[in-house]
Amino acid sequence: MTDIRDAGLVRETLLTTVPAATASAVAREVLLATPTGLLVSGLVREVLVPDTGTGTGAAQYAVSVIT
Amino acid sequence: MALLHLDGFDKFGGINAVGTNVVALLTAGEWTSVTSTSHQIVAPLSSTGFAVQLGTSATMTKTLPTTYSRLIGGIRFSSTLQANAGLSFLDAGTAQASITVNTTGTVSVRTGSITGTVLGTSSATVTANTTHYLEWDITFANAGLYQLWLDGVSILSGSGDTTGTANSYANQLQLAMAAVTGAIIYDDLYLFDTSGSTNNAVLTTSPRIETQFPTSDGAVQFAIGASLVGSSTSRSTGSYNAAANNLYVRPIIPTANCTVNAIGVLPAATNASVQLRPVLYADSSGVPGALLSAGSTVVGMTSGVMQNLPLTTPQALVAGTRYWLGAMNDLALSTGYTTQDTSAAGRSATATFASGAPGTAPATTAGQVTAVIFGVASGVATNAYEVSQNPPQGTYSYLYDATVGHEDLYNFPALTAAAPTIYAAAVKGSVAKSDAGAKTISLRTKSGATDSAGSASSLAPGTSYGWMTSLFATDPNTGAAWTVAALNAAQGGVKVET
Repeated sequence: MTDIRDAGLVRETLLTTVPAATASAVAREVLLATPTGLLVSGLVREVLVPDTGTGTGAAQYAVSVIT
Repeated sequence: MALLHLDGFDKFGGINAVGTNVVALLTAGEWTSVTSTSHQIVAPLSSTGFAVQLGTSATMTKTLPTTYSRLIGGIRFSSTLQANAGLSFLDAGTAQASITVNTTGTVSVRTGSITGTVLGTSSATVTANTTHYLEWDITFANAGLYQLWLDGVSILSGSGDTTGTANSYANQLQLAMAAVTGAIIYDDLYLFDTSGSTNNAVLTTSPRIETQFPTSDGAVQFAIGASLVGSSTSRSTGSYNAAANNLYVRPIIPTANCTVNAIGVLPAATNASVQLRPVLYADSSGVPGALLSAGSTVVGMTSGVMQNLPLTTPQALVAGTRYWLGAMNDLALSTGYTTQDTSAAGRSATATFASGAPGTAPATTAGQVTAVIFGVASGVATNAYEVSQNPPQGTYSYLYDATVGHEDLYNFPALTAAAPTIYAAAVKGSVAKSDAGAKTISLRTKSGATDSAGSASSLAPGTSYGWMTSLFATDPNTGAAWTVAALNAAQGGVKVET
């Protein structure tokens, strides 16, 4: 039995180039509402007060050496 | 202005031994620059919050609003006394004068840096690893006057050359540790100049700074940009390393009702081919139980780049309830997820990746690293939640607004202890702008019917989040010193100015 692949059979086809618009990629760009303006990620209030003696720092003053 | 600056070192997140991360937090607006990365956030030296520790060769420098011929201030400290450490007053980077806690426990004033010529040394001493409050009043001149107080008691005074440049002023404050093994911890910093009618002399009451975070909304107009449950911050070195076909979870207890849409993971290494799947389990008597939600496979992860693992079905979480968030992986991860902290609350089990997420969590092994794994959330009811994360979570938790005049005001907790005097308050915001256009804000205090911008009516944030400050030395409603009742009732917030 003859294997057609061994016979080296090929088909070559001359195609007509069709002038037309082509597109290799299509993208859709959408203008979205994104967070704009000012962005706030943290907020604190820092308060300066006397140490009332309840802190660990105050507790250790008793062992400080002041001459 | 008499009050120049205060810092309780409480807003840089919890205890943190990852020097590079601590440095990033310190220099996000509050401190101008550092040297070395041997900085840590440690337990406080006073009753609330945290403190900062400087190790070998570490410095942290803050550039002040202008130049000052005389500076008054105080700071709480605890030194190992292994090396001279202290603080320096700089003129554009060159030390004018310094105060050092010496290895002998004495305290000195020096010309120039912390290794400079001694102008005077106290006879008073401190012992290693004890907490004290140091205050100073120093004038910068060739024959500059200086005086120091320790725990409210004057310990040294004199005069000498308190300049290292030709200028008789300083414009930077630097906390510094010598290039020797050892450490010094700082807390509760205040800085005054001599202007104004208040806060222009040393306090001598060993003051402390209580940092308060918003607890609820007052009146809000900003919109929520992003929410998270958990934290994206790594505060401990190391990583969770997973075997092949592994299921890892860690517990999270939300502090607000929310819906989790995805699981965020911070990889400690790059692996382009590992397959990951998010899982979210209910708690069952302290261990993961029923599967609440999972997601489809995500391939690959990059070291240091937060990996988003979307859940197929968003899951509602209830505040105060424990959940287990985590991920499954197919390939072994010899270096897996970045460590969050030292709690070792993670759990793991063998679970075949190809079989999907187990409907009920298999028996898991406790004591695993607590990894940086959090919930990317929505549906949080309050704006205060977004801005009360410590440290601020940036793009993972923020509010936004572009309408001039819009304002958010939040309520704060009462002071933890009744204070006989309130010297000053500051409202600080971690703020950014979304693009290059000109935008300004103010940081507000509303006391009674008075809504004030404090010391800074127009602050211009950059495009990266950074701390900005407005000072409120007195109650804007009365113009007099704050009372505890007025401060506790006052709201704070942020307003779009331009």
